[in-house]
Amino acid sequence: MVGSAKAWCAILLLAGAIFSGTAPAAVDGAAAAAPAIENHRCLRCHADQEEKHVVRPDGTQHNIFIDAQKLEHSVHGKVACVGCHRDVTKLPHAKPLAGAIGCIECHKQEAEKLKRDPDPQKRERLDVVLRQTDSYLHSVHARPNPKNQAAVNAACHDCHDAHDIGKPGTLQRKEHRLKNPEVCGRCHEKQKNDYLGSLHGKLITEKQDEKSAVCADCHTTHAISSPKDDPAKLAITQNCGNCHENARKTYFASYHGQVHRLGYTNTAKCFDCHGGHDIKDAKDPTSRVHADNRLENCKNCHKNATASFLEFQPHGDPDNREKYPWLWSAKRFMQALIVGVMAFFWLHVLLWLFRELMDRFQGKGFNEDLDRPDTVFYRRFTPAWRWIHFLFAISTMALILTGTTLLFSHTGWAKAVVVFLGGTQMEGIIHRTAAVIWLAIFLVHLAIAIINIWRKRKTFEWFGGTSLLPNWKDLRDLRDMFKWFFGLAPRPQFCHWTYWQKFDYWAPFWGAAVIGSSGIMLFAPEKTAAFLPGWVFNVATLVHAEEALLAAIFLNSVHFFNVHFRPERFPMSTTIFTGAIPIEEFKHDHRMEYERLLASGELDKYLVKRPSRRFDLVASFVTSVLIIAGLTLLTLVLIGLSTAK
Amino acid sequence: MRHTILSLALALLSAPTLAALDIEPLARTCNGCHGVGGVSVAAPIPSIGGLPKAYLKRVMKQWKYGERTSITMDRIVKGFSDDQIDALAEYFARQPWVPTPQPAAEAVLAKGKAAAGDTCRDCHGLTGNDPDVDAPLLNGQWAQYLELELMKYRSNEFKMPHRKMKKAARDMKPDDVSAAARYYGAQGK
Repeated sequence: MVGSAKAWCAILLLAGAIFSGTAPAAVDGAAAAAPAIENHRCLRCHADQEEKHVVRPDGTQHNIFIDAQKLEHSVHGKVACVGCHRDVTKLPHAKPLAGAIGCIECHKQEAEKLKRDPDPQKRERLDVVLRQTDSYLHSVHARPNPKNQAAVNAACHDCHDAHDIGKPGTLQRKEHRLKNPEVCGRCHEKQKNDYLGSLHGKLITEKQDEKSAVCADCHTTHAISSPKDDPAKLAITQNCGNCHENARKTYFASYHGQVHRLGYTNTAKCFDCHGGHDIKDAKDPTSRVHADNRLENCKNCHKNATASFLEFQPHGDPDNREKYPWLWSAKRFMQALIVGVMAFFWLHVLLWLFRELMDRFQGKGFNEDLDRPDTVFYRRFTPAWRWIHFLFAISTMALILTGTTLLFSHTGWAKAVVVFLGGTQMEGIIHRTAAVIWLAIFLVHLAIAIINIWRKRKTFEWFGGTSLLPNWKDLRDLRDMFKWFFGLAPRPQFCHWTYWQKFDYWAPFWGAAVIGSSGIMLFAPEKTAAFLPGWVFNVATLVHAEEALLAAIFLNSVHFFNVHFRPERFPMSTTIFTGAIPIEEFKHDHRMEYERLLASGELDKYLVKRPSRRFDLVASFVTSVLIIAGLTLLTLVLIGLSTAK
Repeated sequence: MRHTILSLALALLSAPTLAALDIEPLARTCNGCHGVGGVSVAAPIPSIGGLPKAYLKRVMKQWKYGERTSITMDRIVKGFSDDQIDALAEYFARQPWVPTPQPAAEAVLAKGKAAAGDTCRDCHGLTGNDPDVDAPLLNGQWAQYLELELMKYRSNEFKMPHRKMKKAARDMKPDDVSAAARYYGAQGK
């Protein structure tokens, strides 16, 4: 009777426990308050210093030892053994244990429990674990093992000793870091052996220097992908830079690095030159970047690399005067040029805008009557010049787009553009094709100009009103324009070419010399290196980019204002496409030329009818497209400049 | 020729039967003390039928090679070859375990259960019927034998090579030794 009453009490207690969700036999999560089997019982065998190994019936020896002290100090110190080893429901337990340990499930459950906790700090580390878990689940380690598809390539416990996971900043953590090569090396033995002989490996093994790179620093801890795939290659280069920050900065400034930063790996990456696991100090004769071995390295990609390649500085830093004086000087010169030119012309633009607006408010200045447009036009450009300008504009814009995509490879737009263009190789083809067109047009124009001058050689006035050569009047005009800007004098009267038009004309000469020559060098590095030292590539890369930036900003802001956006012309001038300028506008802008032609009786030769409506529409359309394209490029360039690090 | 082949075939076919028949008479010699089928009827002598093979093998070899003290067993097993010991272990491991529950006072049982829960159950199970792979069953084993064995583990005068068992026995309170032995002796299936 007594026994029966006890049994009923036990049943009632059990039922109550089940309904309240706290069944005593169940292990509710790893951190259950009262586990079915207390840890000290497990540790009686597993923490036995004198019997760390057991021999299983199949003859294999297994280490079952757990350092009780380390377990206590680990992040799992308060977790019940059977909270993770859930298939252990009694002692003695089955050997070997049958069930797998669900680290991920348990962490998720714990995170779910802490979701409602008002203290976010309690979740902080768990959130890190969950993020890492997510990375792991997408990694190559979480894929089925090719030899046994019931298992993954590497599970949590293959890398982590769950009984010894230290909190951040603890000695356990440091030990785990130092053991990293050993842990990875259990599967990746060759890589481990290479690593142990490397500079990084020796610092870890010989000096216990925890700051030296271990496997996880380069390959990441959990988001591990196959080293043959792009994501791994891209991540590794980024990760090298986490320690070698300046090297990453200078690498990304180089052509190699720009291509890489756009997300493409068909370029030299850190490990292509320095080696991967077997990386050595540059002074080590066995190092791949040792002076005696470097050329071989270059030849992996540049088959015909000459000894001059050795003088190229893949990490040349234009801000390091001591080490790279040529590069430093080139950067200072180019920056002074950009700042000087842009400061002067933007001031010119602002003052001009101010003066024209003031004149408009005061009812002065040239104001075309659009209700009664001119019917008589002055023929300013022949078809040849118009085509030359059109092709020049198109190729320049193509060059700016493809070039700045590399230059601002850190931006999102650059990455999108390069994908749109079909990758860096296609981008290179477009850039070089545009460059050839640009240079060809430049040379054709030069030939036409020389022929024209030759034909008129007896009457041609080199410094006259129709010549594009700068003269003293240009300087006087510049002075007088500034006086006009400030309301101190009337607007000066110009000949056939104004000083700003002459600047626009001569700037490409300088550009062609700088961008063209540097571009050709970079186009054919092996041929260039046959007669020039390697460091010219550093200088060429820098000046090519800086000069292109100057051109991109100048053309799409100052040139656009001078030609299209100043109030007298706004929203655009189509003269460069129609070839004709309304006679009143010609009189206003080129008064002296008009009077000269009138006096000599030559004016009639240049007077033409107003362009047809269709021609005018086409010219407006083309001009609009080019202006929009130019402004878009300017915006992209400014985004790139303002976000550059 | 035909006769030779037939004789060889017969010899091969009968080899396992012969081996089994070989160990039976030897095993029967154990019955005198350990009872038929290894079920002992004497309190100081343990039942051995159904104990784990690995345990039986280990203990007999320890006696044979002088690693474990015994009054009589060491002398007996010295007459067996290692193969015979293996065969005997296998034979007795194949026998069913027949507990011999021995009554005990409730207070003793409670004390013994507590002691068993503290010290013995992680290897032998709380009722002694669910031991570790190489540990002996204890449910219904003779309590007197168990107590004597525990005393041997606690004493310095006997060679008892099982380190963990020695430590566990020595960690027990003297009163608990007897109680635990009686508790296990009282357990049935």
